[in-house]
Amino acid sequence: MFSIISLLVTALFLLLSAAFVRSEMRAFVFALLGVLTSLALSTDFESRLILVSATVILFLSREFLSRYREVHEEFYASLVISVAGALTMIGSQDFITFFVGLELMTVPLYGMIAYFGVRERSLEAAVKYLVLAGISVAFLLFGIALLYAQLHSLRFDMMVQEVGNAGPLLLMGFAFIVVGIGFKLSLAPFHFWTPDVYQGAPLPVTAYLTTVSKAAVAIFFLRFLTLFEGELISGWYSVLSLMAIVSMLIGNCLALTQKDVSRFLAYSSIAHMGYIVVAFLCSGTLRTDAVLFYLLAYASSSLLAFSSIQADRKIPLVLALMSLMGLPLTAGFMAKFHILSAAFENEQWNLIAALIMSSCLGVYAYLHMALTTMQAPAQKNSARDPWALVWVLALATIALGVCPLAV
Amino acid sequence: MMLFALIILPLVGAVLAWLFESAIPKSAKWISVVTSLLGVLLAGTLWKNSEEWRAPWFPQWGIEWYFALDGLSFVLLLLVFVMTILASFSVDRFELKQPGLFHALLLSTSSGVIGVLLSMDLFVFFVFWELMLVPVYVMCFAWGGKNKNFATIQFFIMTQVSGLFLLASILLWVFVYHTQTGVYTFDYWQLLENPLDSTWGYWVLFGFLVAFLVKLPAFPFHVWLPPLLAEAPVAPLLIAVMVKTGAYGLLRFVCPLLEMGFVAFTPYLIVLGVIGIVYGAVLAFAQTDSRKVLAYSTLSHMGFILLGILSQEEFAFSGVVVLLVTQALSTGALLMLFSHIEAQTHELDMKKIGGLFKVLPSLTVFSLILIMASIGLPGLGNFIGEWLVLLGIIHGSNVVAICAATSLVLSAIYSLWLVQRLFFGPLQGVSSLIDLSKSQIVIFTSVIVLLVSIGLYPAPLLDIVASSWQSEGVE
Repeated sequence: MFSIISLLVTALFLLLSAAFVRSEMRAFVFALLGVLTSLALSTDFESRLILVSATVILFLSREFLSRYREVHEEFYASLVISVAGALTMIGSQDFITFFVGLELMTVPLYGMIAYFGVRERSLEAAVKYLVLAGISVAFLLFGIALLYAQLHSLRFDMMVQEVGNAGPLLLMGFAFIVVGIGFKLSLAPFHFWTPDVYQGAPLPVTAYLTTVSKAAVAIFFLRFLTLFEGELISGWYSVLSLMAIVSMLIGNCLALTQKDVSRFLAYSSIAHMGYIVVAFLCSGTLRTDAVLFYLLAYASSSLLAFSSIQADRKIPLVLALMSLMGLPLTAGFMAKFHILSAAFENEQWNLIAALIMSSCLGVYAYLHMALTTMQAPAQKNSARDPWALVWVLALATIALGVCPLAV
Repeated sequence: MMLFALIILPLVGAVLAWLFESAIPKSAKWISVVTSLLGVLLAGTLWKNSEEWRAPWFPQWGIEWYFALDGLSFVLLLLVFVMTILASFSVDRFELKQPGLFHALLLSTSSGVIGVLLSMDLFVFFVFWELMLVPVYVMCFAWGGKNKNFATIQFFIMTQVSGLFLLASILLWVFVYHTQTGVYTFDYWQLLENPLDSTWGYWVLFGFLVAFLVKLPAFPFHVWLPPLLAEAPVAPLLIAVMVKTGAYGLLRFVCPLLEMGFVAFTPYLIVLGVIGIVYGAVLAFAQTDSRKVLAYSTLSHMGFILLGILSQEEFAFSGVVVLLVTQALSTGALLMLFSHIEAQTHELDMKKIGGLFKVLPSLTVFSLILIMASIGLPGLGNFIGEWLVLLGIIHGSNVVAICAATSLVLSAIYSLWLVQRLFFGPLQGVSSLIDLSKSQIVIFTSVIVLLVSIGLYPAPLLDIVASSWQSEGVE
């Protein structure tokens, strides 16, 4: 709660100070201080995960934006507000707060994706994201409304009590909510925005979309599922598992032919979200551990990937790709291991088979991309590369693989 | 602790080799050799104490660093070190760029293989199984020959995919154990205590089989081997250091499962073994590139080894291990000799070069002796192995033994054909070549001495190996 407030206060300060004197460094320092204060004030693992990812992305943005001559306070302010929205969303106890958080997270993203507009051809990506996000949010709202009609409350705890005597519209409401969430998580068949937006958006924004945006929605969904355990799950279990299977297979299949790294990472993220849904579909304590650790490992590997793309370093990028593929002794392997364990525990044989098949496909896809990276000619990079960041993330990826902390 | 040190030792050597090469040229090779010799000594002393070592890793899953040394692991361990030494010497003639990194990766591979041979915790086994290949991939990509992308990618995909099946099998076994006893453990001996019921057992066996058959290699999963062996100068290392892990996996993990009674697959595997023998031999006969002849001859011998493993007889197991050792020595040394030729002629195609006896007399002599070894000439180690395997197979089935014995005949055919085309006959394609240097003669002589000593006095080796069957309680 206080973390959110501190973030919003920071954003306010940033914007107000921009009215007086414009300075990139001051904007960055304010944003960094705000995020770090918020990190200090945060109390649970999920908020910390999001805030640490946000810090990394802040550093990435700083380096990225330094290549352009104007001052970019709005970017930092948008980032901070968006993170505040993410924290609101994961901490929400009723649908109104959730919705406010979701919008607070998404709307600045429209601006951030479109930030360089025509110059970097981001406009197309931004418009796609805007339109599709708008439609999915409309579905989400309608689903919430249907749930309200059935359960007579918007607060989660009261909704759970009413579930027993709800009518058939409950399932439909849930389906609409799944549509909205599926869009944000880029699950098939709601994944079509992902490659274009990932390619068109500025690199730090893509990193933000991959880590914070998806993590926040996934964490919310996890909390939601844990609350509504049992009653709703049986109804749409098959739909979710179908979505998971299709995501996993489509993500890795389509990744096979990509040449651009950002698009490749977009397709790989579709597959990874499929893996997370496999974890969602398990029950019990293993689920929370698996999902949270997966998000942590996925965040660390993705951030490593994006920062090494930005710093134009090949070896960390190959390490990140191998981690995403699931090579042992990397974070990605431990994450897959957790999910496989949870799935075995719950005897989800179809999901396990699909996971293995898609990992097999992924092996070739990631290897191909790693080879393309290693054999691409080196480019001159003029800006100061965040190499320290890259190596820290690389170490984190390996460390998580060797000795993951009990989540 | 010392067992873990055995794994870390080559890694330390790797780092040293990489660092020192820039300071002192040619030092990397000697560092690698010294490290391997130290490893042999360390392994020898550890064997006297017959150790195991445990350290916790993920207690909530029951995963721990659990290493143990028994006869089977010890023999293969020594083999790994010896082959690393041989491999370090084999790349002398090539103008390697960054030899320090090359030897570092070579030592890392041997470290990974040692990890595979020592680990008794299934999770640690899987980690090392995947990791031992990473330096191999890097080596193939960096120093491979003309076809390296295709060969390495194919190898990578096949081993990774089979690794995924292995992971699924391991997890399945662990979770079945958990449902039956409520305990999470990846400790192999503990898992064995609990008999698996039939459906689960077959799935577990399936996963293990896929992984190990790809590595063995067995027909039809052998397709990665011939292209990869053509990639000099990495070729001798692969067959020598790493390929034996497939057979090790079968002996260690699949045999107890087969003993539990999951024998429905065995007839099909026997068929695969026999096909491997014949197919490998026929294709070996048809090759023009000498290294591919050796690749298919490996396939043929591995078919034979597969039949030995399936016979579930103690004699056959000892024979299999002897065959692994001697075949690694003989084929590995042959590949190194061929690399020596290729380093100078850039060509091993027998249509283009031939009659090398006239220009490379000592190399030809060594090749001839090693070829005789791989055919199974009595007096050299391979014969002991083949004889023991056949002894074991005959206990089970005469028909299979007859099919297996054809391997002896067929291997003679293609090996002598290879020797005839490459070394004897009219000189073509080359003018004058540098023969083996003194140090290389010493090394190959020592290989042959090893083979002869195993051939004439195999008792120590057989005793060491047999001790592991007795402790496992194989009948």
